Amino acid sequence: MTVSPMLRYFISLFILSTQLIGAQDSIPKIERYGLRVGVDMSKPIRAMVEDGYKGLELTADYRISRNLYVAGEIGTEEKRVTSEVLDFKTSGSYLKVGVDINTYKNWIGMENQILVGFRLGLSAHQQELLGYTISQKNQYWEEPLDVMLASTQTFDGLSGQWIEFLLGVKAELMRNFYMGLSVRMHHLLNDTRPSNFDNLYIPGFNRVSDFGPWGVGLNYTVMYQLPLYKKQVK
Amino acid sequence: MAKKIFFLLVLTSVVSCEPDDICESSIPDTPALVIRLYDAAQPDQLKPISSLTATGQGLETSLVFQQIDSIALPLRVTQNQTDFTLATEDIEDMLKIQYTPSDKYISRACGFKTVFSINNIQIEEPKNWIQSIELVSSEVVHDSLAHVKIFY
Repeated sequence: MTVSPMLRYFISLFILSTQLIGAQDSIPKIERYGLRVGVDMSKPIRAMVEDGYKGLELTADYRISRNLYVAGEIGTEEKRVTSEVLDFKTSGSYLKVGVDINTYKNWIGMENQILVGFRLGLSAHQQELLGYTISQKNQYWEEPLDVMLASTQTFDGLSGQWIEFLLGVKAELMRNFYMGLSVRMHHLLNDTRPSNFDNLYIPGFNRVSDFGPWGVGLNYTVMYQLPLYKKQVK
Repeated sequence: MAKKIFFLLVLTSVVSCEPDDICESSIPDTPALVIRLYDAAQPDQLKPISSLTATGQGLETSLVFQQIDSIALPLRVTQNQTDFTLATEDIEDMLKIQYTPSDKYISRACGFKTVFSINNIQIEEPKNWIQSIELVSSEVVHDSLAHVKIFY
């Protein structure tokens, strides 16, 4: 009986994998603990494809136990919104702190995560109103209703506070280099509003809906891990 | 399970059709000046007019009201004075309204509206068919209630 090389390869792979699984209990499992720092690549991508948007976000997480990470983001955003009835610009910075919980059980030597987490988000921002349209159903006078403000109305010293729930993945592509993706639901808790205008966009929070406190966000990070120490899994 | 929620979240973030982009016509916008017509002989009685034509100063087109005791006149949002010729059965009177307009934010979809604070309202002398005019509410913020009474 001749065994094809392909079949021989699969048999050896099967034997190897059973040996690995069988060996799992005896080989001590070592995991790395460290600080990961990174940058959100979705912001420069968004700046390229979206008009009137600029942003930068730095991210970090620190592993405090086997499945728990303290995590946060710090960033700055600028967004000009031009609609049929409004023209405004939001700019400011934000800070998000919270935790990520890893729900994924890795094989030996792998350190990837499927994360659930939450953040508390804080922003300090300003709104600049550049122009607007007056809404008047009876246009008997046929007046121009578009108002371009001669001098921009600036509302500064504004802030927002919100919580975020996230689902994400982080995968180690090369040793100590991670790529991460997370989608987030934002829930606005409180915001200081400009008088006679509104926070229609909040840096870090994104677009604010007129109808409810919910918003959405996304980040796509490239991170580097500074390994600090190793710990054996009990 | 986590994967299912994940994909749901991605899906909802992709779907970006927002209901708050549409300005509903039920949202109050720039209010008009609401005038109610009263009987000069019995000042607490509303008196419907058979026909009233309101023509804005310098305009060709008119607003025509028939068999009604309440009329709504749009004010100019870029000026601080609006004048109307009020005519019934070819008798004319000139209504002059002076006010301070200010713009108020409504919403993302509707933008702003103009509200008015009336400083002075009068019928130019000599009065023809109108006997007197009375300002009830100087703040024109809603057009659901009357701002002015005209007695004739």
